Amino acid sequence: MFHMNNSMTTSMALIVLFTTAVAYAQTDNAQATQPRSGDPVAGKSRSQLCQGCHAEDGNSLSTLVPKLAGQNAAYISKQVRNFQAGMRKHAIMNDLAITVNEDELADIAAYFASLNKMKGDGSASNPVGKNLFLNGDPSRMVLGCAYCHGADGKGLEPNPAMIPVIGGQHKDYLLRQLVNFRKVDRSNSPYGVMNGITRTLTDAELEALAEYVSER
Amino acid sequence: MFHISSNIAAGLTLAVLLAATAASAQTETTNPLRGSVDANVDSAASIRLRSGTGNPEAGREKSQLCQGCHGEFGKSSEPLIPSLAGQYGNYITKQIHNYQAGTRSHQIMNAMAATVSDPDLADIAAYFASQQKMKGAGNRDDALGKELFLHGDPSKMRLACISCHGVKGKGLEPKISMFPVIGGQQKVYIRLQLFNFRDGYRTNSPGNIMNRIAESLTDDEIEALAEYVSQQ
Repeated sequence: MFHMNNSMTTSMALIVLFTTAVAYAQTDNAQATQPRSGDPVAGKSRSQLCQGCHAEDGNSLSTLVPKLAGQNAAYISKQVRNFQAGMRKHAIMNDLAITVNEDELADIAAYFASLNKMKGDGSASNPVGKNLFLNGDPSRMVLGCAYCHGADGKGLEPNPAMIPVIGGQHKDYLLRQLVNFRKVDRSNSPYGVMNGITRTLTDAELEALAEYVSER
Repeated sequence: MFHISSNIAAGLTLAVLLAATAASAQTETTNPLRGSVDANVDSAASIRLRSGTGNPEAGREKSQLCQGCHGEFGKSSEPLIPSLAGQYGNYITKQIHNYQAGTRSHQIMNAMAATVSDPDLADIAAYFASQQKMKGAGNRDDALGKELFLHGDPSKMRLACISCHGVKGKGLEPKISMFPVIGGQQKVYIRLQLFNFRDGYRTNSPGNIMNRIAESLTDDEIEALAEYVSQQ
């Protein structure tokens, strides 16, 4: 029998949390790599409610509502499960996510994934954003976005469940997510990697990134 | 064997509580997409967005028959006839298409809807959409209705109305036309629609979401909701 000091306690807590996170990520990843393959045709009618905000072609009109056009199906499914479990928070999405079961979700995700991939206007008006996107800043543990999200943020195999398409996404939505990751209001990225990367980024850098990525 | 300090336990408890409460953090005046102001007001820009593609001027002429029951400016004076003032143009169009196809049923409206062409429909919808948005008397605040409207009870598949219908039921956003304006609508009309959704007589909501939500509502809860929503 023994008492732990504070730092041990903290380490224990971290280990517990980390183990839980790893276990969860593995579970989730296992689900994501072996899903029932969704039917995009069925998904079109099953996603009517989603289309109300995310639009029939997946290119939402409201800039705070993410585009889903050409998003990875496994990533969409993971986010909806995270909304269901409360691991990702949004007043509307937490409520709506619980209305779909796994069967519906597979079709809905397949539908949005099957649409023409979201696309920006192709300009590159922000050199700061471009540099951070391509090269990051290793001195601050800021990894280049392209390293995981792929050239132009269009996604990278072989881990589509974990890594979303971001190129051509709405700027307002991207900025909100980056800010939320930095504040740790959103913490459902694998191993919290997005929280770590955004931790040292300034408001101006987040803005620059959101702008550059949205134009891809 | 060892003791875990109480701050771990406290931390875990807190995390659980946070997860449980965050999902239902809705307030009367917060649109989750827009922040703390109701953006869906009667500005020129929002009227244009909610009107759709039709011509409201032409629609005024073409909608004379509709105006007979729904009111010249879309403000119905009959408890069972819905106001259309400030309703989304695309929502009106969808309902008429559903009446034409028989996927929404009403003795009079099925017959009337069959007489309208798509180009005329776009103009008619734009005319009603461009009117000053319907508004309730605002002199009563039903506590039960308000609670259901703002928070619902997701564990029973009762989603908060505000999630889709927006602050005070005035719509989520001018650009998002799937979810109708319900705030300030005729109380008796709202009550009838909720009954119809609950009992399966109306089944034309996206993904039948309204049927699933209304399934567990009692008569008293429907009355309270209709009261609260019509007052907005």
